[in-house]
Amino acid sequence: MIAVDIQNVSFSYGKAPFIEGLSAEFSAGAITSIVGPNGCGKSTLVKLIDGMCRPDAGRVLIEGKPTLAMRGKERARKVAVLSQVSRPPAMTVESLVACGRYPYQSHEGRLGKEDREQVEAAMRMAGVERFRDCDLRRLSGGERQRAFIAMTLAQDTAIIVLDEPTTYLDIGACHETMQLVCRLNEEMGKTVIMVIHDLDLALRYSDEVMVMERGVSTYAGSVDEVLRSGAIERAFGVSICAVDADEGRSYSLFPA
Amino acid sequence: MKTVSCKHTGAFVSVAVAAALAVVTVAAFLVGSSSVSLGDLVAWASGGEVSDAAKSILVNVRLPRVLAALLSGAALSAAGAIIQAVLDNPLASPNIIGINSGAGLFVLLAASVFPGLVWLPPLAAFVGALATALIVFGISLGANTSRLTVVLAGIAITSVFGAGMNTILILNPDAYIGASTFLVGGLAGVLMKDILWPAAYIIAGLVFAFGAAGKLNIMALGDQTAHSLGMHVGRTRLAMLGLAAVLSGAAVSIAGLLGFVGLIIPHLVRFFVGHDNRFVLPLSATAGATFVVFCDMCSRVIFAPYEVPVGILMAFLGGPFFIYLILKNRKGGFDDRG
Repeated sequence: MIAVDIQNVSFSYGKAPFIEGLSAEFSAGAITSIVGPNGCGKSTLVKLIDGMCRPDAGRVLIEGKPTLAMRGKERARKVAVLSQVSRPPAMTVESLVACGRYPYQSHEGRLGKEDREQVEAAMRMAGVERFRDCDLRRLSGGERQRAFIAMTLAQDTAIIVLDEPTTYLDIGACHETMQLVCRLNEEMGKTVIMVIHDLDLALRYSDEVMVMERGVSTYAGSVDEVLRSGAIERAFGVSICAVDADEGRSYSLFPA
Repeated sequence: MKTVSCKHTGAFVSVAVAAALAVVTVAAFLVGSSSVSLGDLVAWASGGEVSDAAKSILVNVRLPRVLAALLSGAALSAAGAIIQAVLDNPLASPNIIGINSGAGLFVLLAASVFPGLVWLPPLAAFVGALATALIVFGISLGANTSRLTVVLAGIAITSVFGAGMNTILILNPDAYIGASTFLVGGLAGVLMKDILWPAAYIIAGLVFAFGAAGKLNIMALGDQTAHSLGMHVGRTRLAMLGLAAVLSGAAVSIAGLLGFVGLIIPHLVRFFVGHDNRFVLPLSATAGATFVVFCDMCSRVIFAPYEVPVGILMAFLGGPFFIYLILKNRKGGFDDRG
């Protein structure tokens, strides 16, 4: 099953083509990480998936339906995108999570019974119930990120796209966030697509990895396949050393 | 979906503002160059016997004036709250992004080209406000939509339109006669027939604005998040900005270029009830109405028997507050305490 199918997509911000003839498939039920050097088009790919950017050529299918053929709210009921938030809004955690119900409301602001249940379930899943009345700006980076993830859960979509979910977080909060993402995948069956800078986290917590360089996908496959292919080494100019310990496997990176 | 304590604060503030509005409105009916007793007002309001003099003052002078103050205050404050939210800029207001100067320029143009048409200036104010809103929106789209670019664009437009206004006043000094009250913002001599159609626009605009307040909360999450929640961000932003232009244009057409009311009031309201626009918008409208009615009443008494246009009084109050806001905002303090 293909959750998100990117078919021969080209996109440019100005005159020079930025993404050219990119094709990629994201499997349903998997955690897929998109990795690549700065400026390779990862974040643009996220914007193409949710229709924020319109491809010049090609198309993006969400569960078989072209992104641009859907109305905004219809698309928002299929795929939830958590983009990078530089400045947290001045609202409580519960208000933020309730925003996730926007795609289901014809009149904004009035939550029905099902809306409230979804909001409660999302806060419970993300472990932010006890912060419900806290202002987002008063929370730590990790708590805030969990609150935003709860908002995307309240959107009740099969697919969740995370754009650099661990940026600005300390190492403890990084792992906490990734473990939450894994639980969403295992317990709720969410398809997760994430852009992530930290290669160790990407390799540890993903089922599949897609490597991007200069607007094209150079390799995509399972973590083991990607490691064998040497695509990450070529893209970043690093060598990867898997370290096995009692606690599990981690990946150390060295300049090549 | 606010906290319990916030709900209580919100309820308390709502009741306090509503009470203040009631008291100030009653006082505004009584106070002025020729005062009316509370007994007369009560008798008139309940349809009883009142002296012809008192009745004439109440019906022909006080009623249109209080209504004009209520409507323009509510409209400008709600418009300010909308513009601040839509442009994600705490320092934006109808005044600072040039909507008022657009209205001013068009009114002066109308007054000099077609001096005979008395129905034209309010319409011109309306069209001017709308046109300026579109220009500012266009610039903010063309630039990187940072807070600073929008404010700078607003300042640039205000200076261009200000130059236009000065040019008209120099070439056609007669345009100033009758426009002076408009330019500083004043409610003296407002007639019932002047406020009928702006009232319709303002009431309709407020109803739409309160209904769309939830959308502003979604926009506060940033363009990308709002988009991924299914909102058509560009279209919504244009619609809300258009709504703010209708509100402030209608307000300006009855009250002239009132200064800082659209800037101050939403900030004061957020200071007490937080940033949820479903509370901020209605409370801004109520508090703004109270403020303008109060200032207009003061403008009638402070230098009696002379009358200061209310816009001057409000600028004296608004200017220092704006400086306070800039200083607070430098450290992010004001924003943080919301």
